[in-house]
Amino acid sequence: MSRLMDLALDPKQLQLNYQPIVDCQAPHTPIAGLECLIRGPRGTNLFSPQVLFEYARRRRFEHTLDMLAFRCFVRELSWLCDVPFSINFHASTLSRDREIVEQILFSLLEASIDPCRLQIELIESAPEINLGLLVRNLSDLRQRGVRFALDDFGVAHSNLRLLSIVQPEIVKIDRSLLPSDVSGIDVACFLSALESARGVGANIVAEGIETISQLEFVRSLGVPYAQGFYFHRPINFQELEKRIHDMKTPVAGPLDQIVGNY
Amino acid sequence: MKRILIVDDDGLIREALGQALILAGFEVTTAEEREEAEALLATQSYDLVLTDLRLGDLSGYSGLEVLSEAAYRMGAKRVLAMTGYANASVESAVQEVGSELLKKPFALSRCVALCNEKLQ
Repeated sequence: MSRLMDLALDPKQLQLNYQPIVDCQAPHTPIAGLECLIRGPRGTNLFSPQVLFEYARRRRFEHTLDMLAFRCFVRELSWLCDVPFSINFHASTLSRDREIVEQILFSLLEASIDPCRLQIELIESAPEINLGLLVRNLSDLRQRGVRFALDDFGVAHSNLRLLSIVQPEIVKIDRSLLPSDVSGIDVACFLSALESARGVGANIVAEGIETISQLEFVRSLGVPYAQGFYFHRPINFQELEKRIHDMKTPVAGPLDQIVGNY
Repeated sequence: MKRILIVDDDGLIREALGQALILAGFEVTTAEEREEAEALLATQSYDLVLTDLRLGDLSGYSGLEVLSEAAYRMGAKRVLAMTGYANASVESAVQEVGSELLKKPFALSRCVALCNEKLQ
C-alpha cells in the first residue's frame, strides 16, 4: 500500500464535517438535517474531497473509504439524538455484494442509531455496476427505514437513468444549475431538473444557496429544503453540537416528513 | 497566478523544483504517484504539468500514462516530461504524445525558463 493510500484509510487522518440542511420555507430556516462531508488528511492533496474520492476511485478503494467514513460518522453522530443525517455512498459500493446491507445496519445498531435517521446519498457511478444487486440492496435497506437521495442531480453521472432506478425519496439539485441571476435564461435548467425530480415524487433539496435572492427564488418554486453557505458552512462536530443545542425549535427534517409521505 | 503540477516520486525533486517555481511566481501543486496525479487532473485545473516518467511502479513508465492524460486534457504543449533514464524508445514515446523531454539532471533555472516560455 502506498504512503498516500495508507493516510487516506487512516481514520485518525480523516476530517469529519457537517453541513446543515435547512427547512427553507420556514421563516427562520431551522436545521432539518445534516450532510456528512469527509475531507482527507491535512497537508496532502487528498484534503479536497473531490481529489480524495477521485483518488479512491482510481486506486479502486472507494468502497473501503465509503464504509470507513460511514463508521466514523456514525460513531460521532451517536452522540446526537434524533437529527436526520445523510452520508455519501458510491453506487458501486452499494452494488458490490449483499453483505453491505448487514454491514450498514450493524454499524447503526452498534451506535444505537435508528435506521430512519439515515439517508444515503448516491454518487457517481461507474457504468459497470450491478443494477440488480443495487436495487435489491436498496430495497432491503428501505425496509429497515433507510432513505435515499440522489446527489448533484443534473450533472455528471447523477442522471435520469439513476433517477428511475433508485426512485429516491430526495433529489439534491446540483449547485451549478442554480442561476446566479434568477431573472436570467439559465433558470430553465433549474426548472427542468426540478420537474424531473418531482416527476418521480421526490422531495427536493436545493444545493449551493449563497444569496438571499437565490433563497427567495427556490422558496417561490416551493422547494422545501436547501443548503449552502448562506445558511451554514461545513462545521465540525463540536460546532454542530453547539448550534443544535442553541436552536430554539426542535429539528424536524426531510426524513421525518418523508417517512410520513411514503 | 499560473498553476503548475509537478509529478515525481522523488521527494527531493518535488521540493527543489517546487520551491524554484514558487519563487518564480507560480502556484505549485505536487503529486508523487500516478493515481494521485490523475485524480488531481480530473478535479483541478492547471496551466502546465511536469511529470517524471518513472513513478516508482513496477512498469517503470507509469509517468507516460500521466503524460498522456495531461496532454489529452490540456494539450501536449502544456506538458513536460522529465526522466533520468532517457533512451530512444522513451524519446519516441514522448514525441508521440507531442510533448517535450527534460533529461535529468537539469539546472533548475533551465526548467523555470522553459516553464516561463511555455506559459507566455
